[in-house]
Amino acid sequence: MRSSKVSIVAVAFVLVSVSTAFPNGINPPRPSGASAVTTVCKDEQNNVKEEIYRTQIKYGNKRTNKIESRIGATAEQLPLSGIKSITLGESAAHSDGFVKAALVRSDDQEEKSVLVKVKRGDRKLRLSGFRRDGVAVTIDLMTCKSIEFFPGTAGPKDSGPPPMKH
Amino acid sequence: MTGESSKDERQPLLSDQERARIREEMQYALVVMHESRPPDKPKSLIDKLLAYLSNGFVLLIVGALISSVMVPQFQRAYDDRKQQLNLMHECFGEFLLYSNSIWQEYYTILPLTQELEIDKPVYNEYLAKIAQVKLKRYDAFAKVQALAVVFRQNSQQKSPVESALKTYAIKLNTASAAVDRWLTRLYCTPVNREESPCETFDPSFDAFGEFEKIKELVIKTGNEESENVATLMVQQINYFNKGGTHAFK
Repeated sequence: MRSSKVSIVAVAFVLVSVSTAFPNGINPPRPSGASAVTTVCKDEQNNVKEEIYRTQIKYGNKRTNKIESRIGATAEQLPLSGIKSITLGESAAHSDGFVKAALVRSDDQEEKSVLVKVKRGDRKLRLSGFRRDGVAVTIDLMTCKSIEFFPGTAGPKDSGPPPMKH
Repeated sequence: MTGESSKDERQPLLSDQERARIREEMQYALVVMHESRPPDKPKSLIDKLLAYLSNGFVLLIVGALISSVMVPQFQRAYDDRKQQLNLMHECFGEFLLYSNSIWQEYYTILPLTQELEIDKPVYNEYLAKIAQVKLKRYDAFAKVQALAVVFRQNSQQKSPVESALKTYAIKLNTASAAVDRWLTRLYCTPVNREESPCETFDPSFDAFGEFEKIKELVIKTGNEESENVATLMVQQINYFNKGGTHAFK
């Protein structure tokens, strides 16, 4: 019992040990939902329909940063920042609000067949965010054939938006 | 009888010839003595000066001159030097206040790293806090800038301390501007709001990622850059304190 306490203290010491004598600031955690995601909505011809910065999922007046998926009986709330792409396999949602889709996670390059929720009750899930110029944009999830997700706010071209004028 | 004996007594005991001989011998002895004496050395300038100064009146004049002209002059030079040293110390103290202000700014916004966005009252509250820090910094900088003139060797040419101070001030302003920009972007960029309260905003703004960059900038400016200027100042003060001029290189 005592040795475990000692080892915990030792591990804690290693974690906080530093090699500089200078003031080194504080390291606060990245808050939940702080990771912005840029999405690219593509149509059936693989043309870019919309590029949305700071994407969130919106239904009614509510917002979330997660997409609900299901494989068999296992349901998951996947954060947008954890998804690489979703390709919808059906043009209409089932009665439970799910559609068949191919999903690739950010940490796993393998494409998996899943069910993705695109409707909550009678409310359609929408991608909500801003265009590069700052104009607010909202688009139904189902109008995209495929959606690519990019962590951060650089977007697919990595060009970044125009600088803010102040 | 008596008259004869007194007449004999008055007669000289030595003859004239002997007297002349004795006189000649004496003269010869005097000449020999004079000739045999070593010649007098000519007095050196210092001897003459010392002899001159040993005069009581001259001593009085010299003493009066020293106490009325030279002592005040030395005292004035000493006081000037002491005053310059005090100003150097004051400049250094103000610099420490000035350089510390960037840390105050950094720690002021730190709690906001846990916010995804802020509303107008919060923005105004933090704006006021940062404005206080900035005003104190401007005050300290004005003092540092004015006091730094004391490090000059001559009144025309800027000292190495002044040049280092200017370079440092630009870097500190850059870090401070980054803090200011970050706060504005946190306020202007909507996350859960429908729209931005500002006319324009940057949708690519990543508050936490940008804060990490600010931290790096502040740590570099607040540590390395501050240390460079502080070291230069202390070296100058030390050099001056040991009797050197301002022209420390």
